[in-house]
Parts: sequence; structure tokens; C-alpha cells
Amino acid sequence: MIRLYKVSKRYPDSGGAALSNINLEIPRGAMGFITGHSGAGKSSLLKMLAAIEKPTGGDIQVAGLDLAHLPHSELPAFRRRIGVVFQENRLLYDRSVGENVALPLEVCNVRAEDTERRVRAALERVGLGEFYDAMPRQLSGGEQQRVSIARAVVNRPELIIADEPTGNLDRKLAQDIMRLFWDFNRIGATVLVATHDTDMIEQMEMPVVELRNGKVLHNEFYEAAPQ
Amino acid sequence: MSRASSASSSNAGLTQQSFAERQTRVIKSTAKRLIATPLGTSLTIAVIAIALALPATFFACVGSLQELGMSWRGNTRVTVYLEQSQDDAAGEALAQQLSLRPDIHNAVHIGKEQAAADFAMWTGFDDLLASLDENPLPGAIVIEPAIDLSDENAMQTLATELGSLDGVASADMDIRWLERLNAVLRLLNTGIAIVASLLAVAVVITVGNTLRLDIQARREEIVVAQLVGATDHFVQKPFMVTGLMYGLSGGFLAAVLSSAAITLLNSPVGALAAEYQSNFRLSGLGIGGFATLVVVGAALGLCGAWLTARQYIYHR
Repeated sequence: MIRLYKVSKRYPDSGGAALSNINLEIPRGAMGFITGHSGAGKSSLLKMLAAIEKPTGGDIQVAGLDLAHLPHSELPAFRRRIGVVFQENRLLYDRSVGENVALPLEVCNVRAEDTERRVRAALERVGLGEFYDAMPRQLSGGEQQRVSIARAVVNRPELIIADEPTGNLDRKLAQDIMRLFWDFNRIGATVLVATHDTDMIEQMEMPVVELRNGKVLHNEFYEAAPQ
Repeated sequence: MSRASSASSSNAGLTQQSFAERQTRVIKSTAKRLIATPLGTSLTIAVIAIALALPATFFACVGSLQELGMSWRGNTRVTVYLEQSQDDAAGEALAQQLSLRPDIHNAVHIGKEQAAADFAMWTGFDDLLASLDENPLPGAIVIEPAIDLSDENAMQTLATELGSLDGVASADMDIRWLERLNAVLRLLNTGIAIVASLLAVAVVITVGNTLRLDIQARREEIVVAQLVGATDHFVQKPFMVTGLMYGLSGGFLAAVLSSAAITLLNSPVGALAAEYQSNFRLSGLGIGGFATLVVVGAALGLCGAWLTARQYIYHR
């Protein structure tokens, strides 16, 4: 599902490399964590997996696509195959909860009745079925994060990428959200969660990739070999 | 792999909107958004309307004057002024003689008394004429040529020939002042075309700037939509429709304003024309002009939207 070989990332305005020589292979249908201290390179890695940024070196393949050389015109089709959950949830506050969750289907021009059916199902799944018409500001932080998860999964993506999805939540809510990801993983999605919450990682007993200063310190998945 | 296949089903079983449904959805949401900000929308449309109405009204006025000039050209005459020594009988005889020429369609003699009466009527200086010892106006013969009126050389040759006849003081073509009027109108047309071009650029900039602010206000929406798989075309479309709506509304309002301005102007123009025994009225835009203004407005709106969208949405 995911294969990184000698991937590096350097930002023009920063001195050192955000990522250097990352070799990693994650099989389809797996679930695991990317961990490391602040500035270790977790977000840079996830941004490259979501094709938000391109690597400055190496090969990166996701769902069979070479993201380092993916043409701009093919980005939308790729992004429809993945779901991304951001730490700051990135909800649109002038749209209702239902409209936020519907966005991935709207961009695919799905008919209104099918969209509503899918959105209601996704909201039910994250326990927010009754909030379809509510505005995001009426919800708590944990509920807003669950709305963003519903938006990430409404398209039934092959890969779910979550960047610190529980960063602003208390222990109980964080556990609820992790259980949600586990549920989606059980129905087939590959799930990769970036977190620095070591208690959570220990509790979930899933494979972990630990980054430090842009390098892989510890890898419980596979190390990619040259093709 | 079985888990993978179930996960990759993604949008299987979902029906897609038809082309018409997609366009209707974008138009509805754009109209809703514009109506939600009535002041901003009205101001933008008003700016576009004024920028389009001004040159359209001037073009219509100048066009009317040109039409008037063309109709006057069809009535071009050569006026032959007789020497003061020529009496009315000699003038009448010369007129009859001239009317037999193949290059002259008609020749009408105007006697000295008639000339004085006409002068008094047109100028209102009848008291001045009455105070003179004798009538200073010569007799004249108004010639209606039978040659091509648009052939200026032939007309000039005829006037020169008539001016050299015995008993004739001079021969003038009535067309000269018309040529000067046409030259002034051509100059005005060119000036208006330049102003219209600048105002068209102003419309493009106005629409572009309005949409630039709109894009900035909706930056987060655009980024999130792109992150969940929106194409550039999908993101761009609402802004194109917004530009089109601004242009269409602005063009329509411009046509209404221009028609109203011409209607208002026609009252004093008609009164002025009546002073000269003329029925002249400014021509309105007509259906063609109205439609052209709406189409031009729409095209400029689209152009502004396209340029802005290319700059702020594409490849970001």
C-alpha cells in the first residue's frame, strides 16, 4: 500500500533535512502509528503520503502511484482514494455538519440523495447521527474531530491518514477516536496515525514507526528494499 | 486482499449527477451566495453597469448623429449665388437653362425677395433687414445634382463649373459642413472607443478584484476541497459563474440605464430639433444593442473571473 525508498525532504528556508533516507513499507490493510517528538518529521511524512508535498529525493508510492512524479492533473483522483484527518480538523464553519461531511462526495458529483444517505451513515458510525443539520461551532472539540473523521471516511478510502487526531482531546475521547480508526481498519482501510501519545500507542498494540530528527529510529513495519 | 477490495469500493453504487444537475447546483449556490451579500453584489454590478452604460450611451448618440448626417447627404445640393446685378428674370432663365443639363436633376430659382424672407425667418433679423436701404441678398439657384452624391470630385467639378458661369458670383456645395460634422463624429467615435476599451479593462479588473477577495475569503474552503479531491475545474467553476452573473447583471443594468438616459435626452433633443424644423430623435439601443451590451458584460465578467481563477486557484 505504502512504499518509501530513500525518501528525503528538505525545506528551502530551513537548515537541516525534515526527513532523510526513509525506507518504509506498509502493507495494504495494516494499521499503525508514526511517532516521535515534535519536529521529528511526522507531519512532513504524512503530508507526502497525502500528496500535499513532494519529496526532494527518493521514491514514494501509495496505492500503486508514484507520488514523487504524480502530475497535478492526477492529484484529485488520488486524493479521492485517501482520507485525511488533521489535528486542527479543518472543518468549514459556515457549513453544517452534514455539508462538511458531504464535501468529498460533492467534489465527485455524487447525486444529492446518495450523498445524504452516505453522510448520515458516516455520521452514525462516528456517533453523531443526530447532528446532521448542526453547525460545527455547536459541537465540542471531540465531536468536531469526529466530524472530520466522518468526512475522511465518507468516500470509503483505501488509506486513512491522521495527523495527531487526538492531540487536543482528553483521554476518554482520544480512546473513542482510536477505536473508530480501528473499526475502519477492520473493514479494510489501511490506517496510519501520527501521534506522540506513547500511552495510547502501548494500549493499542499496533506496529510503530518512530522518527527522530527526520530519520527512522525504530520500524515495526518493513524496510523497503530497492526495486 | 479481501479487506482491501472492500475498502477500495469507495464510490461504487453511487449515482453521479448529470451535467445539467451539476450546472444547476453551481448556479443555485452561486446565486445564493451573491444574494447573501446584497450590498457588495449591488455595488459591483452598479460599477460594471456604469462602466458599460457610459460608452454605450455615447455610441448610441453619435450613431444617431451619423445616421442624420447620412440622410442629409442624400439631400446634398449645390447653391449657385447670382451676382447682385442679376435680376429675378435673369435668375429664372438661368435656372431653366441649367435644369436641362443631364448632370442636373432640378434647379430652383430663389429670388432676392424670397431670399430676404427666408433669411428673416431663419435668423429672426427681420428688423435689421428692414432698416437697410436695399436688400443686400443676391438671388440664388438651388441645384439638385443628377450625379453620384458620394463622388466628391464629380460634385466639386460641377460646383466649379457652375461658379464660372456668366452672372454667377459663386457656387457652394452644402456638403462641406456635413463633411466637417462627419469628421468630428469620427473623432468622437474614436475617443469613445478608447474610453470604452479602458472601461472594459476596468470591468475586468473590478470583477477580478471582487473575485480575488472572494477567493481569499474562501481560501480554507478551496484548500479543503482540493485535499478531498476537488479538481481545479471544480474549484474554479463557482467563481466563473460568479463572474458571469456579475457581467450579465451589469450588462443588463447598463442596457436599462443607457435606454433610460437616451429616453431622457430625447425630450430636450426633440425640442432643440423642432427649432430647426427637424423631427430628429436619438435612436435607442434596440434589441440588438441591448443584447450586445448584455453579452459584452457577460464576456467581460467571465474574462475577469478566468484571469483571477488562473492566478489564484490553478496549480496551488
